[in-house]
Amino acid sequence: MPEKQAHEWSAEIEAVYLREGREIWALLYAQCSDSDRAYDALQEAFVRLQSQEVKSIRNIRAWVLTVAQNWLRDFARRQNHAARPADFLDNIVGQNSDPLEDLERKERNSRVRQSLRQLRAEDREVLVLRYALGWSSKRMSIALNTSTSAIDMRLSRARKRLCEELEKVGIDHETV
Amino acid sequence: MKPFDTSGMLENDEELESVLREYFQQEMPPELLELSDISDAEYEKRFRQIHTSGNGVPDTFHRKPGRQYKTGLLMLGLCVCLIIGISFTQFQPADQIPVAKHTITQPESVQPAVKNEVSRNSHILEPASLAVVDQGDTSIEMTPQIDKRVHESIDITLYNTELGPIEQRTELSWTNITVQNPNTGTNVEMSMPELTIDFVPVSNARLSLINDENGNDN
Repeated sequence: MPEKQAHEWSAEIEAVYLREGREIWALLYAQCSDSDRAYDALQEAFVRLQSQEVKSIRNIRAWVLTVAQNWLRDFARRQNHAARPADFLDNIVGQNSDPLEDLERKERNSRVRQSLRQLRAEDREVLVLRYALGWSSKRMSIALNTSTSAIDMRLSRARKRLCEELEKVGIDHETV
Repeated sequence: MKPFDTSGMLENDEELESVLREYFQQEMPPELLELSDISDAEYEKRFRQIHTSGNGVPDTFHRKPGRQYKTGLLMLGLCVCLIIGISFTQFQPADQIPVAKHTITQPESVQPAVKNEVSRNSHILEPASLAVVDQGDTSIEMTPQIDKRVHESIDITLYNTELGPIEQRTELSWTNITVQNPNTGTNVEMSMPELTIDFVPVSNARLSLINDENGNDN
């Protein structure tokens, strides 16, 4: 492979990563409810993209998303036969903040994550796009190929279901 | 008892949104947090370009109806086929009822057909009425006219007896008779059966034939 061409491909892949990375991660997160796993899937897809001829792929974003989703499925299958590491071990090392605040935040995040996992993927999808990426309803309607009012409706229902799940795990929401 | 008091954390929607934003802020990898985002207009423009230029790889971002849609379509097709089948069997049109193509032909009646050449002032009487006419006390001079049309049926059966083979010839013949009643001037048609059964030894004839062939005296 000529060095110039390889350099162009790498630049194009990097541009795709910078442009689409957050969105693809959010979509993967909506499926697996695991930040690290979604990120691993994203990285894995882009690594595999390096070995492909970028010019032969007409829609790189769709290609990356498909590969990442397949990787997530394979990971889920492997996970059923493997020992699961403790999630909190990675975050203990190197933290200088107040231990009590960290524990409170972890406690809350754990409950939110648990509640999110109880939702349907469709509900998680709109919640992630709105609150992780900060997308507007119009942009979500373009991406999801639906109307703005339908997005608002889905968001409202997803929030309501999330509140119900949060109440179950001890996070009160008196106004809902 | 809960380790931390989290009650009252979600007082309203804004509170929930802030919780979710903070949660996803911590969930998202730092590397991705640093990536800049494009505007809505730019995103829409790029999205349209992707879809107008074609897509070699299926974009699973848009949730397709998928298996549920296909399964529903399959079930719908099966139901339609079932309904059509039931309606076809239950409400089959009358002209499509299967009819045996082999028509059962009634054997020809041995009785001769009624003669059509009957004068206008004559009528055909039933056998019962004929008996009444015949059994009257008054003698009526009738002029019978025998038709020549005679229908015959011959049945030949061979029997092996101690005396040799015997052939039974059963001959049934019908004779049409038209009788004119001079008092009323009407014609009465009758069909008279005649049954003849003959037993003919066959061996004698054969022997005689054999003798003739051998040159012996008969």
